[in-house]
Amino acid sequence: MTDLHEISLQESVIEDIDPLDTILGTDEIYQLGNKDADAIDALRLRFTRQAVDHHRQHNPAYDRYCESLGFGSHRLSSAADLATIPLLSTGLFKRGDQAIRTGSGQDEVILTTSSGTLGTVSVVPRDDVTLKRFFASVAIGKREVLGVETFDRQVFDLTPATRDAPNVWVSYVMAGVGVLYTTRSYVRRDVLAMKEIVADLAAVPENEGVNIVGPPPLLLDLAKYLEARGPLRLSPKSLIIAIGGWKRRENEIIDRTVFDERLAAAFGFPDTAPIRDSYNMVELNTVLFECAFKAKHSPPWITVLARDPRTLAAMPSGQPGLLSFLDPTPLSYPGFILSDDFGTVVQRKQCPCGITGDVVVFERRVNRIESRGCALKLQTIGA
Amino acid sequence: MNDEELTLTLGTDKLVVTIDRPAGEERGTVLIVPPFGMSAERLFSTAYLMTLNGLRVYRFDPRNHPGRSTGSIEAFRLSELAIDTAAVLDLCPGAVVLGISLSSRAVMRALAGRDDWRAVVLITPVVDLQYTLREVMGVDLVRIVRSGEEFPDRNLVLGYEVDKVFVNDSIEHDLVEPADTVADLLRCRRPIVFIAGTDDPWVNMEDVRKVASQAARGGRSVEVIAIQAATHQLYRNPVLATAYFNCAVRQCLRATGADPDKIVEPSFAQIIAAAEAQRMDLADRANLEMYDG
Repeated sequence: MTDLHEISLQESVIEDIDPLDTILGTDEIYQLGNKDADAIDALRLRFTRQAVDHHRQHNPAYDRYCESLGFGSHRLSSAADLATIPLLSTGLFKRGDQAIRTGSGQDEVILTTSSGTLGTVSVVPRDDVTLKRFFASVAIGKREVLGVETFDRQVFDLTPATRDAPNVWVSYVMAGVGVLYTTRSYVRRDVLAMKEIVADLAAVPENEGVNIVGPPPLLLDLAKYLEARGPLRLSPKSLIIAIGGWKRRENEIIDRTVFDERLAAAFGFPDTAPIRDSYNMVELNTVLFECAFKAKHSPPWITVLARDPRTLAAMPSGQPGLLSFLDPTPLSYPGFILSDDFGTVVQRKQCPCGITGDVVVFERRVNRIESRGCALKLQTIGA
Repeated sequence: MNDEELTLTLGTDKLVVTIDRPAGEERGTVLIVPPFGMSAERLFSTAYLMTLNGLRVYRFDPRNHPGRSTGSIEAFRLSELAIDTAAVLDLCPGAVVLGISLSSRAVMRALAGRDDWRAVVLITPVVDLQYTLREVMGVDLVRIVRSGEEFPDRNLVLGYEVDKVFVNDSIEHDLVEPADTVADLLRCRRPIVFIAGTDDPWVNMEDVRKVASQAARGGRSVEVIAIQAATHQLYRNPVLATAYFNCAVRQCLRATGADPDKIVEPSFAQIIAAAEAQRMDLADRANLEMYDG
């Protein structure tokens, strides 16, 4: 240590950074599995256990739920034990159940919602730290999985503006992206300003990469427009990133390979590597991005498990099941989510992109009978 | 926000400056010098935080840097950033100057020997360029240049292709060594505040303490604020950004004679709402211009 005696130097220390936020500010965090595969397990165990304790302490309904199942964080001694953490089904969020709210109820939160195209809307309370951590997951994934390191890459946004869709999560996410990156919005009152975006894209300097972000049907609409008028010639450094789903246009879903090929041709890419998908849902506080090899990488801080739909037992690596997420980043609701999505988790995969870690394959959405059972159980306990 | 825009002429180059005014009573002025690779536009949230606290903000796009000023980042030079900073300070004498990461080094050079600034606040401050470049790039470019070894004309720095002239320029202008930093600090006659993270892999906390100590021994007024467990990636994790920038705003308020404990700390949701409103406003204005045209 430097000797501070006899000099007019003042020194003070501020101690308000949570260790999880240090992790979310660590360079090359996705590379953790390359250096030490067990390090990811240790990291997940540490922060998930901490999250369980936080939610039990500040969420009486979740505490009762855990109590009824005889669960306590003292049981979490290895990564395999994480599968025993009581989950919340997405159905609970759709009912706006207070049981999903961690905190005094007086803490300031924003209520973010799903688009509700299936008839019901999930409402997720996010406090300030929870929201900031979500956008940390965006910034980290953008650099380490999408491979975009520069600060100033332009983002062309094809999602509805928040003034047209207040608090709808996908729009809110892009509004937040607008804080982090130079972003232009091209959807107004649910209409994509096709001529405007094409003109702006055509004006981008030849060697400058851009990101075009939007729901798959609008990306396809843009590709069709270009197919009819001639393709663009975007820099191969550019990326087309799909967020959200097909919503009311599910009848127009096309095969992923065909989708990628059409977009690549329309934007003038030599191959489909720049066409990327992402995964998030309003209840999940972390985004999963796809690398150039079309693998959706689970970040080191979350645990994704496929579950047997009947027993909710964790399936072995590569075996399909109902997907669940243990996300330690939210403080204002328990991030232990049983989703409506069916898929597989390939653990500790060495991806050609250079990341070694869990890769998630989403297969389809399932009906909610299984998760409804879980939701009803928690509602009874929370009453 | 974005209340006024000025374009300075430096030789044949242009330098675009944005001015943001607080809605209420004005307590002072802050000149924000962007970190490497970040345009003034991207400093919206920092400027918003400052204006909420009654501070008028000057932010600018340096030359040979992302943004609307002349040149592109391949030709970026730290000595030129010092000149640009000095030119903008001419517009706002008496300002508190805020440097971030690499720009901190240029700020120290720009302020050395001048008296028309109130204080300087340096976040994640690069005080040993050779060390930082080595940690960021994985190779010691300064050593390679000094040894006369061959190295590529272009080098990737934080995702940007940067001409090797950047390293040569920094060596020629004495911007590389900690001793150079101390020499500049000894010529900075106003209060100096370093805000550094204890877990910053690119800026060694102990190096910051050392240069601060030497400047203090030379009679300068220096304060070091260590943010425990904070890394360098303040633009990757908004929680870290909040810790650094709220601390910086307190220092700016203190420097301007205001009570730092009366800081206004917006939530991230407020920042998103402000940025979105600004974005929509600009889009509406663009549409209106198209319509009028």
